[in-house]
Amino acid sequence: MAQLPAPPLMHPITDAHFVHPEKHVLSNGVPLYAIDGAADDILKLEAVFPAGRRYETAPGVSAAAAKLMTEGAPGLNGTAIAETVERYGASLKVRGGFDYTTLQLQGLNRFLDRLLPVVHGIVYEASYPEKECANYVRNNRQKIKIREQKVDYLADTGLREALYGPQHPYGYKMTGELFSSLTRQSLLDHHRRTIAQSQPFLIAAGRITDQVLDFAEAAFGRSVRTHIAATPYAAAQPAASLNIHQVKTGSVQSALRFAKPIMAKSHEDYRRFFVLNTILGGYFGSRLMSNIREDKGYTYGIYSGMTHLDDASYFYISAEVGSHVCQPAITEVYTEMQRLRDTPVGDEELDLVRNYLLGTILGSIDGPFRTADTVRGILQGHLPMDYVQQLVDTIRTVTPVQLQTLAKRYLLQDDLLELVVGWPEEAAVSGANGVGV
Amino acid sequence: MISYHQHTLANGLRILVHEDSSSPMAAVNVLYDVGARDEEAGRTGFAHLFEHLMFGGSAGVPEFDTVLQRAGGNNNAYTTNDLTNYYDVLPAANLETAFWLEADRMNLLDFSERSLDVQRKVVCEEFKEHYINQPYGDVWHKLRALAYTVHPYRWPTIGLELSHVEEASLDDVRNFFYRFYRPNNAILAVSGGVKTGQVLELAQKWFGGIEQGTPNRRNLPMEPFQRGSRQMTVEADVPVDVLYRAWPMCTRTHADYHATDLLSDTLSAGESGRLHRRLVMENELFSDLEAYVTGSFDQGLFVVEGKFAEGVDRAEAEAALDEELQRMRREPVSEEEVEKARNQSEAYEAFGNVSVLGKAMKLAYYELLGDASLVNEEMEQYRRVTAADIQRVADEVLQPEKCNTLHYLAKQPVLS
Repeated sequence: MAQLPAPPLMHPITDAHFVHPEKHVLSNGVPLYAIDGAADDILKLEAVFPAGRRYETAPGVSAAAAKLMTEGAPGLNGTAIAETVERYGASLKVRGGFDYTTLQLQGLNRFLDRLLPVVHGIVYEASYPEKECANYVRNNRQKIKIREQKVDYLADTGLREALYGPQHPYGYKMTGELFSSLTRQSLLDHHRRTIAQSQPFLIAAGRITDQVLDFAEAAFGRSVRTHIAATPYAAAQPAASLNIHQVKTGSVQSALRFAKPIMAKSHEDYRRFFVLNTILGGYFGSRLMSNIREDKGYTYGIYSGMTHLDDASYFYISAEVGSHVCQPAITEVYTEMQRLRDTPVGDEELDLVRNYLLGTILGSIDGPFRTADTVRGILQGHLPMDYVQQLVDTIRTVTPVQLQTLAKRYLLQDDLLELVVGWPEEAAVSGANGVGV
Repeated sequence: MISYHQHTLANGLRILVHEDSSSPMAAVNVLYDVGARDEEAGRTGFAHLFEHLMFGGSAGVPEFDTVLQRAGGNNNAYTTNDLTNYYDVLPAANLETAFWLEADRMNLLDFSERSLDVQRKVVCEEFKEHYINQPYGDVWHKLRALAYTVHPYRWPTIGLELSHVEEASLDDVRNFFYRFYRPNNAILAVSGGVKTGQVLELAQKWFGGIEQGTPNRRNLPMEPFQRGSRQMTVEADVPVDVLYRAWPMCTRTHADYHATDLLSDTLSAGESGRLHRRLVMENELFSDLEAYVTGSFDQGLFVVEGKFAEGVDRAEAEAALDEELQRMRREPVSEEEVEKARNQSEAYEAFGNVSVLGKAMKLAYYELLGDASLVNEEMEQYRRVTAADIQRVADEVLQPEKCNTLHYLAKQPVLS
C-alpha cells in the first residue's frame, strides 16, 4: 500500500451565482423565461399550464387530457403527430399533475419550424379521437392492476388519501372504474377550458436564438389567454386514524410512510425546516440513512422530504423495509425524530450539511437544463427570483438552537400519520389497532 | 463534440480530461474494468456487492460520503454485467477532495467484517425490493438463463440467488480488490470547471504512487452459435401475460452494432415505430410493445417485449408480431424511417453532452470500449447506416430458429 499525501484543504462554498433567466413577454402577455447556454443547437421548452387535478370536473380527466393531447389535432392523427415529432429527433410530452399540466418539447433548433404545426395544433385544437380515448382507458385499467400489486404505489396513494380524503383533488386514487367513466367529451371540455385559453408560463433552455422566440410567439403568443380559477372543491378530510396498516399477503418487503401537513415554501420557517429535513432524511448521510440503512441494514433507502402543492404542503418519510424488521424500523424513525427534539445538532454535522446543501444548490444551477428545473420550482412555488440567494443565506446562518426549536414544533410523533403496506400477517393480527412505540 | 486530453500514468491508470469553463462544478468518474461477467458461477452478485463495500471506508477515510458531502459534493455508482462505475460531482474549487477520496479507496479498502455484514443486508434488501417483491421482478433471471448457456451474461448483476450474496466472505472481498481494483484496471475521467494541467498534476500526486496489479486478462467462455429456438413458460402471481423474445446479436464494438441499434429504433422508438403503430394502436393485440438492444460488450441480445392486450388470443398476437419482424428481413425500411432513427440518435447524443457528469461518464465508457475518441465518432457511425444495412442485420438477427421465447403468464386460479 502506498503512502498517500495529507488530505487536501477544503474550500467552503460561500456563494452561488444564480444568473436570473431573461424574461420575455409574448404579445398576449404570456411570460417566457429564457436560459441560454448550450454548446449544441438544442432546446428544451416547457409550457406550464394551470390545468391539473385542481382544475378538473371529474377524477382522472386532467391526467387523461394531458396524456392524450398528442393523439390528434385537425388534419393530424396521433400517428402523424408522433411521426413528425420523432422524424425530427424531437420529443413532445404532456404530463398532468396535481396543479399544473406541463407540455415539454425537446429537440434540435433547426427543425423547430417543422414542429410548429403540431405544437400549435395540440395546444389549441387537440381532437381526442374516440378510439385513442378507449385505448387509454383499456390500457390504464390494465396498468393499474399491475401498480396495485406494488406496495410502494399503494403506500404513496394511500398516504395522500389519508391526508386529504378520497374526494379531494390531491387525495383521490384512480381505479379501474374511474378510468372507465372517462369520456371523450370530458377530456375535450377540460382541454378547451384550460390548455386552450389559460395563462401558462414558458421556460426555454438550451441555445436561445430568435428562432426559439419566434417559435414560442407563434405557438403560444397569438391568442387571448386569461387567468382561470380552480374548480371549487371541499376542504381536505383527513383519515380518522393516524395509524393505517394494510396487509398485503406474501410481501417480503413492506412500504413504510409517515406524513403530516407542513408549511408552504413562502412561510418564514420553511427555509430553516429545509435544512432540518436534510439532517433527518434529506441526503445520503442523513440520520435516518445512517441509522436504518448503514447501521442496521433494514432498508435499501429511507428518505424524508416535502411535497409542495398550490393548495397544500406535506412532509413525509418513505422507505421500503424487510417485512420482518418493520417494527424495529418504525421505532428507529421515532427515535431519530426525538433526538432532533432533545439535542441540538452538533457543529460538525451542521457544517457538513451546510456544505452539502450549498454544493447541491451550485449543482442545481449548473447548465441550462438544471437551471430551468430550478426556475420552474421558483415559479410554481410563487417565490421571488432571488429565492436561491435567500436559501443560500439561510443555509449559511441557521443555528442549532433554531433547528431544535423547529424540530419541537414540527417533528412530533403525535400528529404524524403512520402508514404501512405489506406488514407480516402475524403482526397485523396481534397489533390490529396500530403499534405502540 | 467533446474535446479532451488523454494521459496514462506509469502505473497504468488512464486519465481523460474535458474542460468546461462555464461550469462551477467538476465531475470525477472512476471506471473499473470489472462487471458481473467476471464473477464465478457459484459467487454471483459479487461485483455489485463490492460496489457497495467501496463506500464502507478505506485506509485513510473511514466515511467516504461524509467527507464528500462536507466538500459540497455527492456521488453514486453502478454495476453492470460489463463494468463498475463510480462518480463524484462537487464544486470545482474542491476538486482535490474527490482525488483524495478516490485514490484512498483505490489504494487500500478497509476490509471489515462489520461493513461486509451491513452491506450484505442492504444488498439483500435491494434484491427483495427490485427482484422478488415486484411483479415480473425475476424476468431477467429467467431470460438470461434461457438465452445464454455458457457466457456469464446468464446471470444478472444482482446475482443468481440471495444465498450467493449472503455467503460472501472477507477473503472473497480481499481477493476481488487486489485482482480488479488496481490502477491499471481503471479509467479516471474528469470534466467541468477544471484545467487539464491541474488535473494531471493532481492525478500524479494522488494516484501516481498506487501500485499496479497483475494485468487482468479476461478469458470468458464465448456463447456458442445458437442452433434451434428455445422456449420457457413461467406462471406467477402477475396481473398480465407478457411475452419476451430475445435473439443473439453482435458485440458492442462490431461493425453491425449501430445498424442493429437502429433496427430496434425503427421497430419501436417512440409511438411512431412500426410495432407500436401496427400492433398496439391499429390491431390492439398488445397494450405495450417495444424492441431494444442490451448493448453489452460481448454478444448482446436483441429483445422484443410485449404485454398482451386483455382477452386476445396469444397465438394470434404472436403470429402478427412475427409477421412484422419477418417483414423487416424481406423488405427494406423506408428512407424516412432511417432518417428518423438517425435524427433521434443525433438529438440523444447532443442532449447527453450537456451535463459535466454525462461528459465524464461518456469519455470513460468509450475509453473502456477501446478508445475515448469513439465518443466523437458515434454520431458518424449512426449517420452511415443505410436502409440496406438495416435489412441485412434484420435478416441476420431475427431468425426464428435463433429465437428465445419467454412467456410470463398470470397464474390461473385453481378450480376446486
